[in-house]
Amino acid sequence: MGKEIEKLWKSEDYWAIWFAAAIFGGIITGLITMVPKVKRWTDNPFEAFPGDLGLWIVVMGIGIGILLTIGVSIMKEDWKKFLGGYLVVYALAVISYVAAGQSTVKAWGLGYAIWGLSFGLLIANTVGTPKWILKGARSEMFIKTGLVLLGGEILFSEILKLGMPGLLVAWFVTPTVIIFMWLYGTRWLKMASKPLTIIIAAATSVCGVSAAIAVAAACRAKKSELTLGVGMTMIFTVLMMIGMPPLCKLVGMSPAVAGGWLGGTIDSTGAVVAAGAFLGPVAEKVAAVVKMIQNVLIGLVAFLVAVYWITKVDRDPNAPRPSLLEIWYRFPKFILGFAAASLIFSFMLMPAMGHEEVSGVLKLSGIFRGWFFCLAFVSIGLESNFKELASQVVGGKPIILYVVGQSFNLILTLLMSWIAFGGILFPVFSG
Amino acid sequence: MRERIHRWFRLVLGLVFLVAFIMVLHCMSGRIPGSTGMLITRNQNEDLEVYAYVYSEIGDLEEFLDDENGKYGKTALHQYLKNY
Repeated sequence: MGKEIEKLWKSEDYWAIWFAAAIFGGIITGLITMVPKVKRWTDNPFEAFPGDLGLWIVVMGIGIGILLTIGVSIMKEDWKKFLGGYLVVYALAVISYVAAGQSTVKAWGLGYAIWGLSFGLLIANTVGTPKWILKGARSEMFIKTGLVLLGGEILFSEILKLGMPGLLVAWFVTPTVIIFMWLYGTRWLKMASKPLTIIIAAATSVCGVSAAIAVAAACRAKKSELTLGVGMTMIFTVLMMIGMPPLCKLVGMSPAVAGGWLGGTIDSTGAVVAAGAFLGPVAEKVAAVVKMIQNVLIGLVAFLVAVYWITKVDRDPNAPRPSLLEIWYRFPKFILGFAAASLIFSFMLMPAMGHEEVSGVLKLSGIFRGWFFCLAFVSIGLESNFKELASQVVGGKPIILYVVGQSFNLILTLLMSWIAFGGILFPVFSG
Repeated sequence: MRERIHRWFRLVLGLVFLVAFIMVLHCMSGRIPGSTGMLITRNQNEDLEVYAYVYSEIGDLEEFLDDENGKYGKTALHQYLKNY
């Protein structure tokens, strides 16, 4: 028990919660009133830093660095080496955001994740990542902190407002597709990596990058597995974003049914809205809302995957069933932070502060979350090598899993969208 | 020494490739025909991810039918987005 209490200030899982709590606290108390974000630019990359934004980005980098360094030093690690490496990782994160902020790049949906990975991989696989930089490339710490911050954005109190048709499409299809893909990957394809199977399944059925990160952290996947899952998801997201709307138009699908279909299948939120917008305002709104309802499932899926991993996948088949205490010891604690953030925002802060104030807090914490995920992707790139990545794709099984799973997702979501939005169960959405 | 130069050369080459990729993407964006071109052009001008959050805050899907001029129509939405 004493060891478990000691973990409160010695384990990265708990520190992710403390970091996120400090950020939420800073915003709620009014200490943090602005979080800088790299702006969109078209021809000149310096347009990304209008006015004194560049200075604020440096200040924020130092601020996050100090916060993380406090944690690292209390964990009794070499904080000087961490800080040195962190500053380089942060600089690369800023460059990744600048690349992702180019208006055309943004229009194609190539976000900071793919740029962070690309810059990191490029350095790691050419000149090699210096050891002192690797000390600051704490991908798991960045991911876990980002996920606890994401938890605050999952507002249970808002779900019921979003309407039954959306709930039906998002919440029936998602678990069905995850289970289908898991069984198909492990039993039919017999994929060597179970974490990779569940990462691809979650990314396909829930919401792409965020779900992949959450599930990878929950099942303690290798970095190369997460990189592969995210890379594949992003490529297919672009293809679906440009391919699906013309198809809907070609077959004369009603805007609401098409919106439900797009929202339930395309992985990234931005791409969903872009594809829906192509079909008009009703499709755009329905697509966006279905996606947002689906995003709520990230935490639940990560929680269930963590429990399943401890009780089934990682368990010695000859060993007795793990006790509740053992499950608790091995459970990734940052997921509890994720759930706690969601519950606190939904049921305590929302009634106490009101919708508008909470939205303001989440707007700022959401930008922090983006920075932490970007730091994580740069770090993953810096720690990965192409050989390891290539070994994951041998035989093409991950791609087969994605294509078959996504096809199943497309068919099932279309069916459910037709039932929910086509006038079968609920009144017709005419637009 | 030669190996070291090769590694740095590969890094520079990689960076040039990434920059060239962005430039090619940007230069061809106005020339893409059909639906893809329209979709990309629209995306260039809007911060679409924010729309999703705004829509989800609006609430019941039924409200969405109240379109262009209604409470949650385009005009109101753009006003809201300005403050986001």
